[in-house]
Amino acid sequence: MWHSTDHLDDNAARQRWLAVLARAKLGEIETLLEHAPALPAFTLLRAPETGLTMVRGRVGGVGDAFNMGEVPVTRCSVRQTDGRVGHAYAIGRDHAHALVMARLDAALQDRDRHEALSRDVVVPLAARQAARADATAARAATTRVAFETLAGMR
Amino acid sequence: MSALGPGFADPVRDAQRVFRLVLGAMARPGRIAAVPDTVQAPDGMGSAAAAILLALADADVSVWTPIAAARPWLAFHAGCRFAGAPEHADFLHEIGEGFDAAQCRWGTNEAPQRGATVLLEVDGLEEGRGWTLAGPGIDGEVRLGVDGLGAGTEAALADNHARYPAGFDTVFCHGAQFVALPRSTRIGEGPR
Repeated sequence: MWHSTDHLDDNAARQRWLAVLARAKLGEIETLLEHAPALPAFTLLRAPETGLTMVRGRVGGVGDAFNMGEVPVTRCSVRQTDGRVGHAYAIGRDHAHALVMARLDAALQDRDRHEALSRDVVVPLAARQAARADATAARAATTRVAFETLAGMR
Repeated sequence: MSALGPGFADPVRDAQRVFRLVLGAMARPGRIAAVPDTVQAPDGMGSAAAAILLALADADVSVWTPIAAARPWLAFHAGCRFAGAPEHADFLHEIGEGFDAAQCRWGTNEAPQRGATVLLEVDGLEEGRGWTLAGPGIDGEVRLGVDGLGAGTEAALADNHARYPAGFDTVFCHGAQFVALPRSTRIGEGPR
């Protein structure tokens, strides 16, 4: 779960909000931004651009790495007027999503804006994503079959 | 607070445009060309050198520059490697008198392509005075004035030409202007 008080390890907190923003849809983010403080002005360091990235997995989750397949990734970097730089990398080809994600990444690094933006945007998104993940896990759990070994049977 | 600035406004078109300009400059040595003024170079670096590095440098080449502010900018926009020393760089960026030809990588007869491309920032460029240049790409002779070079640079450039095909190639940069001097060009003294 993402907690807004996790400032102790700045990098870890930033990784968490970037992950939540990357997984969210543009519509969700924009709806939440309507009731959040306005994002500051910015200039583009790197306009949204889409490329391909090879996604790699591990055999069985823990073994040798292998190439799973290529996915389109869109990235964007912005610089706020106060000098803070925000980056975005997200699967998909949505340029507007990458742009708002980079703007949020920059704004969330500002202690003055962090509290309100994380409460209004990131925490609700994280809660929704966690609820979706829980629902999927619950559905999968109903299909689990528990096997007993012969040794366990009397 | 990061000092990182933007790169090309239109990465694909601007890079192709600058590449074509450098190609043209190398093909017509001594003719002054200029990059479009859309690149905001990092402090201490001229816009021509910055634009040329943005267009030509990538993850497959190494760059050396004495400008500390330029390294994060190049790493972000060009994705290039940085040489540990000037003599290991594929692209050597230097300022005026700081350039030491002995410290740049020369190609050999067997591997002329190993020669570095030197981007040398100078105080002034002018056609019609200074050196007399002749050779491939030049119809007869052209004159080129370059201001702000160190004492040994002119002799080093003559030596560079004498050792053709070994040696290095030079691009003199002054603000947004630049002139290419490939190792194939013969440099003669001219009345200054």
